[in-house]
Amino acid sequence: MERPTDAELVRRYLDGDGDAFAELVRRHETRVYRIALRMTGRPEDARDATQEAFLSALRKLKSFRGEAAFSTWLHRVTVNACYDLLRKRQRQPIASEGGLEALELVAAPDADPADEVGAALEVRRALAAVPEEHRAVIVLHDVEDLGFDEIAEILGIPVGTAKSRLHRGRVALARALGEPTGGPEASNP
Amino acid sequence: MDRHPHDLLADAVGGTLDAADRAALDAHLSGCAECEGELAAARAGWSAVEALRTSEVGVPFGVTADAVREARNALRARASRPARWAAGLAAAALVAAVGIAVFPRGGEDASGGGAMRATEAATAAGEMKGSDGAADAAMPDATDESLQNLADVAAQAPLPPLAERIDYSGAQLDCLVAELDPGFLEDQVPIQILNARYEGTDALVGTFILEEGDQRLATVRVVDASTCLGMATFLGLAK
Repeated sequence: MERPTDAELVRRYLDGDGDAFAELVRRHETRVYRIALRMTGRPEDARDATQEAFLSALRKLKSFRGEAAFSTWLHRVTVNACYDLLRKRQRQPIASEGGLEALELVAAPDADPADEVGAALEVRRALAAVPEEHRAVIVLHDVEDLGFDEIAEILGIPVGTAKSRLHRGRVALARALGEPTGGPEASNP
Repeated sequence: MDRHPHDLLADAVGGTLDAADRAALDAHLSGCAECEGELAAARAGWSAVEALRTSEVGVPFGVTADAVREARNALRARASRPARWAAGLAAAALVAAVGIAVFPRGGEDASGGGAMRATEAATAAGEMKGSDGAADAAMPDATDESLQNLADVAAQAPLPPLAERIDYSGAQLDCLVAELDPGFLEDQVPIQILNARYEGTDALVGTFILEEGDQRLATVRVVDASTCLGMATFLGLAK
């Protein structure tokens, strides 16, 4: 049987099929949680933001017109849920000790804690120091590999602004990591 | 061109500049030490993110449960049917144990609880009968109700012969048990482990029987499949 599209599942749910929404959740929960984790920096906050994103999406589902892809619409809701949560907490996200290691070791049991998970933790901490608006573009582009057109639509900004924020975010991340900025030789492609 | 062409610098790191933009950026870089330095920093930042790109992240169990539950409740409310299961039961499911039924060995309901719905119980029973004890039976989207029915059916069903019970060394069973209580198997007989979805999350659903005197206690337990696998790996149980 042909796999229903996201838009079809939205329609089915609005027509009374509860399983259709569960299927939408199933398809998108991993990326939504990943975006939330990278945006907030803490597993407990990522949980809250993911939960709020799906609840918010459910409540707004009738307003989904299918003009954008469902995933684009959902990612916009997710990023907004992250912004709301960060504003509510009024603090910079800090990667918690323990939570990250537990989650990522569980997901990748063969990972070497000294290398892969340790590096991820260090970068996540540094990412938390990058301004939210710049961090969002890094997460969506450099981590999630979304295109600039989609990112611009998710964030409601022009493509040029998305690129500019990405550049500023990368620079801020490198500085938070204490990376050498290099001289003219290092900058050549 | 802007005083500092940040958009072009972003494309330069990604290697997506066309020839005209490449030439424009090179012309700018030849006279702007600030952008030269920032380009190197941006490349370092981009490389650092590699650690996040390759780091897998597991979705915590039950993180989407509220939304899935609210979606179903909204449809039920729309259909003007009262919810039959308390939210508390669903919350308990996320902790780990769902559905406990106590029956006398003869199979007659001695719990004093509500009557089992025959059709749903038969469905659950059919799923159980169809298993050879391996963890491959499908229960695609478990609900609190279907879990309760599994417990009801397990409490009434005759215990399978020892040879047909689940192999204790099975990784998925080890996962399920390790996640809950290492001593769990000392008293309870595992009847079946099902791969399932529960409230939007991949889960293992296990049915266990404890016989005490003339009574049988049936439990249905739910754990997050990915967490379970990680736990079993940590304990050296997974194959």
